[in-house]
Amino acid sequence: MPSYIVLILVIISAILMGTFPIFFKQWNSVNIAPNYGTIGNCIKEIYDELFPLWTGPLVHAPKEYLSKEFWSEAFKYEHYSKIFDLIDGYLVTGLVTGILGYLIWILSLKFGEVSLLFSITSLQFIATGILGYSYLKERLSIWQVLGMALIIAGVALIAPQI
Amino acid sequence: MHRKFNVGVILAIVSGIVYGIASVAFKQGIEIANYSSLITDKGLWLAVLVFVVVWLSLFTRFKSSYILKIAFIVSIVYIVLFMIFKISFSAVVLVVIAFLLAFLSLSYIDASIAWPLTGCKFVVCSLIAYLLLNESLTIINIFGIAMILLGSVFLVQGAERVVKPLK
Repeated sequence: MPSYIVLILVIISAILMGTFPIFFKQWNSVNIAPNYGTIGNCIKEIYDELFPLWTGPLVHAPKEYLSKEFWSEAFKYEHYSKIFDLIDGYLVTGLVTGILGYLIWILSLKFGEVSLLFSITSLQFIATGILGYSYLKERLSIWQVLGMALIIAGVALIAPQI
Repeated sequence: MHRKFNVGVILAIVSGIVYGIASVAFKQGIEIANYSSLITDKGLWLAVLVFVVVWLSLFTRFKSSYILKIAFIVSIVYIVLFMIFKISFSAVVLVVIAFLLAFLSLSYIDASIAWPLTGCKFVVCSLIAYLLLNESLTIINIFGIAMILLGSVFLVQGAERVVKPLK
């Protein structure tokens, strides 16, 4: 594969990787519950709702696993609705950008040295910084702009060696 | 507040180190794997298609469809299993640990601080690749990585700790 295509693929993957923490941060902010973080909230929902549902017969009467009532109850949408509600636009966008970015990068590893290709993914910090500024309304100081310029310069030094 | 900030910083740095090790593990995995079978895997492309379809559905009236959400979860599971069984198990485990640590750090500090702090992964990755995979580590590489690290430090130093209230 020509080196410029590898470079373009890695840059695209870096932008995607830099995008996903912004959406995860948003997801974390939106779905946070009283006394629990978002992940804690997910675990609590699973523990309170699904764990008793699936382990109940195991404790009380294992034969219930074979009953029609158990299976109709186990797959009732209402039991899972709170979990499904947590899969919102922010989480989906974060996962899509993160996983696709990572997948593209892994598949491009075949065509170059990992130390070079990995260093180029530092462009993700620039994507995160710009999106944080424009989307999350985080502050962008002159030092951060200088940092971004340094990262671009560092990547420009490394990139021709692919 | 200050203690929370320190915890977030430590979590982000450890996440970066683990991530760096995982990257080298992925390189080793992809070298061993049959690359043409990876690229032509129909399940992988189907999972990617589901990803894109679910993402696009967010802009339509199907955005709360639980069938699409189930398809999305299945496609994620497939991609993770694809990485585990066809590329590298240890790399996937390390990446999951790194992402969990990074995600936890986001609970304490801003994304614009946490993410650049994981920059130590470049040093870890380059050193391990040089020592184990016999990859080149030239003066230009070292200088480039140093500039990236310095840029990351500037990004962290310049970042405000307080996020404006989300609207």
